[in-house]
Amino acid sequence: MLSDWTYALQDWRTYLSAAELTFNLSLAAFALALALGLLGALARGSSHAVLRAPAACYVEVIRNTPVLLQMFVAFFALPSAGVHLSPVQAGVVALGVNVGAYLTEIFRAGIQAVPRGQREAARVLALGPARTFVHVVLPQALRNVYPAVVNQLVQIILGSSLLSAISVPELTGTATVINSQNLLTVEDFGIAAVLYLVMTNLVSLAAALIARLAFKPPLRTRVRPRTLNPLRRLVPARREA
Amino acid sequence: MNVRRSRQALALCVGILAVSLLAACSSHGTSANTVQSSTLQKVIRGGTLNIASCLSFAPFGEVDSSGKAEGYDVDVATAMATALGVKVHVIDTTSADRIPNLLTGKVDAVVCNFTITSQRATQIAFSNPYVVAGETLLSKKSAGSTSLAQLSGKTVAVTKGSTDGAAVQTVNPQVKIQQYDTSAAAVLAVKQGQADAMVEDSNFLAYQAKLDPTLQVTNTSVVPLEYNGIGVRAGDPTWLQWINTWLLDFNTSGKNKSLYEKWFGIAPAFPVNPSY
Repeated sequence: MLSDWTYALQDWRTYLSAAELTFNLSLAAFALALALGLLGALARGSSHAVLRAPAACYVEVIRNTPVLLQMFVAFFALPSAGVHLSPVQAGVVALGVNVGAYLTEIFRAGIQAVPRGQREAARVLALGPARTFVHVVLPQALRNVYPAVVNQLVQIILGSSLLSAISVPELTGTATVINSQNLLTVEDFGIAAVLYLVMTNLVSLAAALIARLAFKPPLRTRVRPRTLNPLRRLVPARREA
Repeated sequence: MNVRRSRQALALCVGILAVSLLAACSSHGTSANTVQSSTLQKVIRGGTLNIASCLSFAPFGEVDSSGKAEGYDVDVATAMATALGVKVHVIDTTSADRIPNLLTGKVDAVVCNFTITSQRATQIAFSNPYVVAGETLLSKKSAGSTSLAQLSGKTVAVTKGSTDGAAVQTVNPQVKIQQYDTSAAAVLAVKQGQADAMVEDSNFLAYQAKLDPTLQVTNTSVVPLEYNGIGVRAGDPTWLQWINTWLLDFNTSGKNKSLYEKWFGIAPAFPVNPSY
């Protein structure tokens, strides 16, 4: 059994380069998604219907169609419109546009959650709308949505496995190809699974470090529940006289 | 903080442990050695023959408008079930999933344009060949590619888990390979200009070129002929022997030839058994 694992691990260079491609294209897609999400959230919160309507369309169309279909459109259908993207380019675009729609909604929620009083106070201090957004609303909104945004990055890394359908040699697709050569099914997909775990945990760790440096006071990612005496919960709260 | 970190480490360890446990399980496959425990007996007793076939590979396997499996390979599987006096149940699969389907016991046999190779035979067993194929080159007529030598630096689409990727790179290492999950996706890539050409089974490509007049296919095989057999789990000689005996009957009775002509519209180009 051990020899099966060492045999499967002979392809470690191929696995690592596939993991590197997965990681790089996920980061590129995430950058695109962040830009689209921020612009989308701004447009959705705009007072002009000309901006609101296309942003709403974007979110509803993308969120309500499968990401695999969007990849097929980017790779197989766009050439009919004269746009030839390489498999990796099509993958980055499809993933970025898809997650951008989710980020639009996440950012919108984060911006809306900033108390109205903050904006009013900024106006009282004679800050213009742009400076209010950049210096008052955005920092607090980012704080609100940070954990959800990191989640989306992890989603991109995992979702990139679908790109094997448009021939991107990413980790899952590469594992499939290696598996068809050495036929060690459990070992090949086991190695791929461990590499995904390493990548997503690294991303989570890096995100936690960035959060600690960027947010003051620090974000509390885990709220510890108050320890209650279990018996006390059964007894109705004592009414104050 | 420390608690959290050690928990993350623990979660990672549990994951790795689970993967290695799975590995341990997989190496304890039972092999059927006696006639009683053979797949042959199980199929006859159960009344159903489970076959994996590639249904994205017309005319070998496809899905008709009512969602039923049909095609040459499906008819071969059906003929096999008829000879056994049981019902056939066709499960869709891909080139890369053929061996896992057998190893995990999901199907009794694979009938999916399965090229006999000694490497694959280290994991599973093959019957005698029932259909022979060359691997030809499909491209757009406008591109005018007729050989792999012209395709240096260009992209050639193949399917994952097929023999073509390695074969193409042996002939011309400068070809860029794109690997797709299904042959249908590879054909689409050629049609849409995402790949310059594709290499696949000659029978399949001839059919595709017949469907789409903008495509052309080479007449000569770019790699040596491939003999395709029925794949079964290793270590079950009773089952394998029954299939070979049935295949002899299937071939000599002319049934195989007439099924081939029904689906491909031409007589088989190469004899089923190799001559040396």
